[in-house]
Amino acid sequence: MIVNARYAVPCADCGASSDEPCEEPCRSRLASAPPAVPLPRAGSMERHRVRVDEVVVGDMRSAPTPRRELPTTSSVWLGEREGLSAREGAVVALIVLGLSNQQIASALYVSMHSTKTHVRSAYRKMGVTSRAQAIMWGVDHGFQLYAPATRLDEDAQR
Amino acid sequence: MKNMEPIPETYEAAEEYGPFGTDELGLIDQLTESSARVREVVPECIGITLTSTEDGVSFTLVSSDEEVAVLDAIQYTVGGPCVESVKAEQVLSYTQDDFLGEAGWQLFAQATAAASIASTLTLPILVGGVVAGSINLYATTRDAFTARHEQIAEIFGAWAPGAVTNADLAFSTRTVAEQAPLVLREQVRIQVALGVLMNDQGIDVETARTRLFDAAHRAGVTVAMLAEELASDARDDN
Repeated sequence: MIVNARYAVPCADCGASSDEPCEEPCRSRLASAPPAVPLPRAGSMERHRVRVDEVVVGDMRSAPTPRRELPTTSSVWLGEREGLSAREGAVVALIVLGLSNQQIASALYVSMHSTKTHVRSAYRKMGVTSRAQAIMWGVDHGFQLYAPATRLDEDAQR
Repeated sequence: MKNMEPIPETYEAAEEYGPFGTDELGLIDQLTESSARVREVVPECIGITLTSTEDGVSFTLVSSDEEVAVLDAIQYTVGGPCVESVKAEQVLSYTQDDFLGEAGWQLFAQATAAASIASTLTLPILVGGVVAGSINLYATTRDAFTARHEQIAEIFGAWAPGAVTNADLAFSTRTVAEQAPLVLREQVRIQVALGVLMNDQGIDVETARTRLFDAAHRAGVTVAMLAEELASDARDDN
């Protein structure tokens, strides 16, 4: 028998013992499952959090909409189809995350001069002239807004 | 005559969030080159500020303090028109403590620059018939820009008929330019937050912008603060 350690007590609905799984998900065990929502975190805006959550998250919950369909691609790296080199793709990925040139240079182990050269070259291919436009371009072309920087670079190098 | 140099915040803004465009020559290099041309026409020009209306950000180049001091000294010896205004500024009182630390020196640099300004010229820069920005020039003599509007406008591709003189004798654009790194940092945060909202809620950028700004207003926080929190939450949740 496979012991399911998650169940601390016998199932009140179907009678399964504490080391037995239920045949069907039962209400009592679903209720004892770990919470599906993240616990509150300490943050710099703690005193505003309740109001911010009410306003922004509240709006999201009241009008749930599906995530935007991001473009699917068979490219090796994002932006390849638009002519970005792997390095330029990595730079744009970090711009989309909101990183400054110094942060990008550190993440990619390149000089500031190289970073700015890659940015300028990428801008030309993307048809943008500012960071704000570059971020929106990235959003429209499937770049992640939350991926860890080091991973992005590794992906670009492959 | 030395070239004008960017104030530290302009340099930082260009380093951290440049380039601002796709030209091979960066913004600071372009401004430095233009300022050198301006000084061929107006040697007394000691400061230039470029403001982008669209981005709400300014970049300033100034002559070195030593050079400004020499220009001032020349005016003292000849009793030039700027002498009286300089005298007026000299009543500003500073204690020794004011000059300890970076803030004190920055204050001193601002005061020195502003005290030396006797005339200014503001020129709008039009793109497609719409004001995209402006260029402000600062000089140590009262008539420095007289009858030179068109030559200067040509250097910057600005609109000479829209010239305004002596509108900023306090050199306030320098103070605005000191905020450039912060302004650009906040703009980036806001764009990232807009992207998060667009992806999470399946909305377009204008709807996202409206929601973000409305939410910040209703919550009583700045848009940049809310943007940072949203982007931070998105990173943590993924």
